[in-house]
Amino acid sequence: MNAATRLFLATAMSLAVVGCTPPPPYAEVKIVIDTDVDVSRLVARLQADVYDADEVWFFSRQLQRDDPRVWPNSFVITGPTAEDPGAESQDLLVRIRLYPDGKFRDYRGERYFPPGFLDEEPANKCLPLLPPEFGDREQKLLEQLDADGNPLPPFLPLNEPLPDLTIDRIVPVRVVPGQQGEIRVVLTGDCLGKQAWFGPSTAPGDELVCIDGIFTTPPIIETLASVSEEVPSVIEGSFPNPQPCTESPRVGEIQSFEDEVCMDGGLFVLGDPAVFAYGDYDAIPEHMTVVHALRMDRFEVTVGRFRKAIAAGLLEGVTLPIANEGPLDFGVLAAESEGCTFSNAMQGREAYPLNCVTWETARVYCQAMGGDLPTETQWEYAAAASGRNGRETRYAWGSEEPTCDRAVFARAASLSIGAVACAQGPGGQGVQPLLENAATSGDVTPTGVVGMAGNVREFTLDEYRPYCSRCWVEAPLEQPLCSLDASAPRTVRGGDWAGNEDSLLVGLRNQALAPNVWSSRVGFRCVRPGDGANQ
Amino acid sequence: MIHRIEMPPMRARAGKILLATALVMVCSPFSSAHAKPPPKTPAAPEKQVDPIREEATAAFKEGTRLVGETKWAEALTSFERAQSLVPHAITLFNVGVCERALGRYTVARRTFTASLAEHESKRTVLPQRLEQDARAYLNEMANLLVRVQVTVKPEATSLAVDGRPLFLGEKKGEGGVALVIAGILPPGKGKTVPAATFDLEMDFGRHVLTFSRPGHSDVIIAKDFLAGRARPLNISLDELPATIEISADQPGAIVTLAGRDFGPVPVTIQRPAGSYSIVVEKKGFVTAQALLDVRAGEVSNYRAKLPVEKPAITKQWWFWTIAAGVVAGASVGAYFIANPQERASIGEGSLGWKVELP
Repeated sequence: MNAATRLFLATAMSLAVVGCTPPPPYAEVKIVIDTDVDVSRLVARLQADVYDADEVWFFSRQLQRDDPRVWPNSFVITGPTAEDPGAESQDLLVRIRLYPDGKFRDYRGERYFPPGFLDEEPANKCLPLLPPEFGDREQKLLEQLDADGNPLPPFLPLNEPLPDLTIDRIVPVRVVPGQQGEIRVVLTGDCLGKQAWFGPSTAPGDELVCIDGIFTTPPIIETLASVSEEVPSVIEGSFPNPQPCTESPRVGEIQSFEDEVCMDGGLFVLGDPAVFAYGDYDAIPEHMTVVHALRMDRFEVTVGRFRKAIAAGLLEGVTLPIANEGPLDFGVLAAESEGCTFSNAMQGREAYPLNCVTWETARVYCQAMGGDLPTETQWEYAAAASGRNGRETRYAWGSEEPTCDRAVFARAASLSIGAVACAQGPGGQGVQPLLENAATSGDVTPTGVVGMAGNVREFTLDEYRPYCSRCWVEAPLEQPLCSLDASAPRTVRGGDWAGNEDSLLVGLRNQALAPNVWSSRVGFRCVRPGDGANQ
Repeated sequence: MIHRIEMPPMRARAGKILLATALVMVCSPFSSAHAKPPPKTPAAPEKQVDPIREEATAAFKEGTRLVGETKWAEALTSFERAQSLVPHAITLFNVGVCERALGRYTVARRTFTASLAEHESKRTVLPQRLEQDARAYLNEMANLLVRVQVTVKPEATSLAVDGRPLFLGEKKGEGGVALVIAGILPPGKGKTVPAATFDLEMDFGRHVLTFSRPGHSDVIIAKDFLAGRARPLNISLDELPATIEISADQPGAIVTLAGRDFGPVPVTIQRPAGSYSIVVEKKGFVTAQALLDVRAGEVSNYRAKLPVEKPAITKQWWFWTIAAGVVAGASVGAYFIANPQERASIGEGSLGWKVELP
């Protein structure tokens, strides 16, 4: 009997003995992930990161999961069998994030931190801010050594979702040799924009509502039959609560410009990183928001509508807009009041948008109409997202570049006043009447709101503060409003007759007026609730 | 109480510019008629004509004519030509007027200053009226400039404003920091900033500031600046990571970079500059390994070749061991068919991600 024959027989015999009993199971923990947000519209990219107990990262994967039928999703963490030599329990941190596709940044490892360190009013742009704790974990990574004792470069995931737009959960997991279990993680919309933390914290003010508890051993599954089958998600799409428009929009006579548009509410990303360096405040960081259904004026409030409210006695005691009893004049030598559309005696400008009105007066008017001025979020939602099934566009009408016959802009008489590229076309310089100039009707959103890009800028309810200010960071997910100081300047949105094409970008935040200041370039429109709520 | 919105005084400023630009000196200060006494006799075949001076005179007159047509850019070219041929304080003054009319205040200030210096040197002189005007313009334009304090990290960053490098001024900015002036030097690449913190002087209006440094991502700021001292700019350039693109001739091969699993090819990984070991493996194929040196901001490609693993050779000594394994496996398999017992597993989940403990 040669050596090969002996080996063959020995192996066959030993395997025959071993084969009589099943091999011991590996440690396996299935992470089952479900969500209540509507993944078909906006928030659908799933990322999993796994860290060891020292918070050193070792696994990342991400995948677009925008088909509601594939939810819930799951993956498995495996470990040793109970019989493996030296096998011991191992604690892990599993971070699960769900966010809109494309909304990520270079990895910074940022975690939840109390927002108190933010400046009340950042002196500069909303540049990325690092939490005080940043660096601890990176230092650990830097201290890693290779087999020869040389320091290894830090290993981190390539990128990470933008925290303000992300549902972020961290689940402690204990992997026990040979044991199998399952942990279900529900990514709830309530956690949108709230960063997770790597463990329990005693810091005052930490409200770790979106963070799971201390390390726990996953529930042990006695037999495979008890592992829950992945049935289709029954919660997907239940957040936010459906926000259909349930109110009837006002319908006025054709020339009254009193029509409203009713818009369903929904999830919406406020801000636009592409709108950068256009003004004092960039449209970053973006914020996830929930907008309730609303009714919005189809047109900017006109001179005629405003006069009608005066006649009805709705505006007694308010400061009226600047009256211009002469013709409109936007020339180089004209006073700004000569570009005001309102007049005490009718001057044939009833179809012009009202300008030269203060924020205070505009708000009183809107309240008299049963509503209010729109918040910045409502305004941008109406201009960029409403009627577009979750997509957002650069301009109110879409993403095509502006032209002189689509919107009223660049109609200044001189470069010393503003942009002039469209001043020689039909209608000439300055503010244009509604619908009588073709340019006022091409500037329309999918839901039918007219003139959000050009003609006159529009007052909003919010103060003019950077999106990284405390006022915005601490604003609620639903119906955010930044309004702390009644006398603070208010943001005006949209472009106007003297602005250039950049001023038409829906995300632009480039101008504000104090509540008692007027401009011939600024008007307004009103909103009312669309879901039966009180304004 | 109603207040009128405060707009920058653009209209008034434009009016002053138009008024002041009529003050160009219209007579050539260096024409041959002025430079030399006229010939006394009509017949002067031996008349000496200085062609350079003649050309300078023609350019000066052309500039004056173009000013009359408010063609400032063309007039500027003519005056600059005249100045290059025959330098004179008056020509410099006219150059400054044109630059000022074109809104190039930083350049115009420098030109008026040079004109006054020329005048004070007595080499050539300005009439008293032009001297007074030059001083008045300098004072006026000091209020039309933008001063902004810029702090840049890291140091040795280059800055270009509107596609032009910056001129390092002789004077110091606020607090003794270096002062650089935009708009003076001709178009070109940005120059390294003089210090981490410096004062930048520009014309008012819209400017594009481009900060760049090798291995770092550019920072570009396009902004409207109003005259006066603007809000300080704090600029920080991020170091560009190195990009490693890894592919393989076998789909589904798994990439491991320095011991970390990056999933199936193709993958694009961004890492700090350095040296990285790459392993690309797939069952049934020979594992590919490489050591890659990558530099900041650069893209490195690695395409792994994974040849099929050679089948076992029966001549090898371990052939019989495998054969034994096959026989044993068949025995065990037959056993399990008859008595189904296998290792319990809950699979990989619907995502197909199986995370193995480090």
